[in-house]
Amino acid sequence: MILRATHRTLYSYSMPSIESQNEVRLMPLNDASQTCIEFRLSINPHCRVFSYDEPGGTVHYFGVRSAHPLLEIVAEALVETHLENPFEGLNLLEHDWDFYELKSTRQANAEFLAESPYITLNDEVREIATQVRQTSNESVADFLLRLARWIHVSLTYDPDATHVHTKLHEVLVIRAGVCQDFAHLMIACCRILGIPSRYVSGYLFVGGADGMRGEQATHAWLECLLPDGRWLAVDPTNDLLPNDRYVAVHTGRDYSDVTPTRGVYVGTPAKSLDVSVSVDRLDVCSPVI
Amino acid sequence: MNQEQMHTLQAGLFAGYDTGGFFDEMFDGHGPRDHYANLYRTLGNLTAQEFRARCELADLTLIHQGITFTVYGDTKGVEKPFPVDLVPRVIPANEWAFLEKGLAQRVRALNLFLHDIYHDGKILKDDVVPRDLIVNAPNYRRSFIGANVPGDVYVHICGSDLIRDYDGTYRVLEDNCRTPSGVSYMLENRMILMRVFPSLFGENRVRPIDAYTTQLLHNLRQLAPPGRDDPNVVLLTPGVYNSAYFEHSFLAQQMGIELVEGRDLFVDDNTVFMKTTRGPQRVDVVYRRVDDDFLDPLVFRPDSALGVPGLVNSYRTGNVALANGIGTGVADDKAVYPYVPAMIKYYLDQEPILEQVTTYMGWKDDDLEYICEHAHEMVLKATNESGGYGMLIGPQATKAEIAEYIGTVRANPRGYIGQPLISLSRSPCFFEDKFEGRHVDLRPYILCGKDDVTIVPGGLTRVALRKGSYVVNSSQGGGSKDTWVLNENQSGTMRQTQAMGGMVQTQQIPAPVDKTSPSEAQ
Repeated sequence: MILRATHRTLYSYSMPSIESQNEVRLMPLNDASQTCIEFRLSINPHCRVFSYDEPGGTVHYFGVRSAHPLLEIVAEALVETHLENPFEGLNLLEHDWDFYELKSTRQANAEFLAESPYITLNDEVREIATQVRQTSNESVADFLLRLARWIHVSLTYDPDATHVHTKLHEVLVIRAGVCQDFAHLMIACCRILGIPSRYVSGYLFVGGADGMRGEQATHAWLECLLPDGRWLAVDPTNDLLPNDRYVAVHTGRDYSDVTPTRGVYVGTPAKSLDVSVSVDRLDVCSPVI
Repeated sequence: MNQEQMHTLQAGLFAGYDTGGFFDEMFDGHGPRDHYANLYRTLGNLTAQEFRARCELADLTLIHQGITFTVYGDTKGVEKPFPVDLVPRVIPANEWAFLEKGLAQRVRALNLFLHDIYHDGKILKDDVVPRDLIVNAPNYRRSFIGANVPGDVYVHICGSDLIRDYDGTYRVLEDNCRTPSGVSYMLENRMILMRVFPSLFGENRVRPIDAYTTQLLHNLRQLAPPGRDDPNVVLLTPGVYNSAYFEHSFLAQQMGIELVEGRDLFVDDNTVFMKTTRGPQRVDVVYRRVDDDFLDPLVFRPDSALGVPGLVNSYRTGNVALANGIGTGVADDKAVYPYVPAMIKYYLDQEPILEQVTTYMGWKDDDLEYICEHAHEMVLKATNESGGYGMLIGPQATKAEIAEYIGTVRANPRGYIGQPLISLSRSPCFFEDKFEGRHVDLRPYILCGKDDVTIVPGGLTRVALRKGSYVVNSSQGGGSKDTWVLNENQSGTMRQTQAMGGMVQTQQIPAPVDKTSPSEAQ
């Protein structure tokens, strides 16, 4: 698919702000399953934008020093996605867990096996992971599908239950949240059993597919390292494997590594923050599915 | 050692001096070591009253100059004068030559290590250093992977702590690759000793140390972005409440550079500027004495008000230089320390010159068991603490304290190491009316320039002034001594002059010539 994602963030201040410095992680990745054809970042008030690459993707940054009542960040990306069938080549039967016992696996992916700022690996996580594993067959992929299902069923999707700063241990208590919380829980369950897992921020094209979560704002899911070396994307919020409707923007150990917009400024707290995301399909005009 | 014999040999103030079975810097079993001979004669011939008069003069100087430090968590007083013991610690020329070589080798390896782990990570792929230990270290800055720094140097100023064990072998106890402090005390101790004991410098060929600030400024200027011919160097301090604020102001004054706080700087268009009464002035090099976490709220701790938003990204682009670089804390992590000898072999293909202390690692199963079984005779340390905090000294702890500590170790084995208790060497210190031995260590300050490593002869000798104590940190009841490295060439004249007020110090030493250095201008 060819998808166009437009991500607009607008901060309004009751008193004009000054000395604003910002970092954004909004540019879609280039990898095996997608190509970022075009990316444009517009800032209002106008300013120069710089960028650098980090392990999880590209970071853009800019500063606005003069007084400004509003700060608008618009990221527009044109992306071609290739992953039509995520199940292709997936081992859903054979035993393949031994890979995770290897020292080489554990060392090469150490950052995706440990605790991270949002993710604690405690007994509760271990219990969930072990329980789900007992219901699955010998293959890792089967376990992952069952785990995604378990989380989808056991957590209530409730945008009012949590916020961006909610840590996993809090989610375990309230058993509700949004895609960020669903992803954090699944990452924790995978890591505690030795499956390297990372957080993915991105967008979801929902045209024609009713009931999918993620249409209102940025979406989040995770990727797990399979024994064949492939990072399999899993979306526990929607209980499915991401396909070419998904646009991955940034990866990291957890939300703290992928924060879409981050900034500091001098002034009063923002009066309002509006985020709107739209994803359109450009290559087919008629609704599909 | 024959105590009787010692008594007969020791004169005056040294009468009755007891080495207590430790390696003593000044005495071997027969009497004063050769390099202490002059000092022994001169100091031994003083009366207690004469020595006390000099101590009073020194104290007065310290108070007048405001040479103080702050102890965190102490509610009683904010600042304390830094205790100085007036008996210098002496290092002979050949020992220093050996240390100098060993320290230079070590800091070279540490810089190569930092460059490697922020780029290809070869040493991790080759499993010489466990990768998980590095990428999950709290001071490893993931977002800095792939960033390039001027000359590939990360650690420009390193303070490595050396101790000597029962037979006098020097061992590196730890490296300080973030913002090592104490160099101002090294410089002030010399200034004080020259004031209260000028005659000692006529009798001994002591190598001067005051080129330190000139060399540091020279190195800092060399870090400036290309095309900045007369670079603006500033010293960034967390402010007056920081325990090392005296040092920050002292060094800035000595180098003739601006002492700034975060609020004095700003970033515009990815370039750092300083606010001045004549408008913004571009900053090229920041000698920062603010830890990573507080340096830039945009990329590190967002709640920090001490730093400069945007500074780190400006550094990343090369528009400003930072000394030390970002993410150097992983190199002085106590968990990484045991691997430094392997690093030296790996990067330099050399045998390590300096010994270090045998270290048992909580993350190795056998080591963990050893630590738990032998805790009562070991020193256990939290890998992420410094300044003597988070430490258990087994032989001095109660059974309950040991059991509690082992509990925390078992809960987080990655966070702890264990080392045998080294009986640090002792050096005579003056108390009331006589000299008594106290444990000492040595922190040389290693400067890593674009092309070479320079170390001013000596460093800061820290003393555990409390009787029997091994803890030399100033935050825990430690003091310091002037440290002398003797000149190999005992003939010929040496010139050391000193004007009070800390502004003018002239010592004969080959030093890099820096046309705009303040010490020359004045």
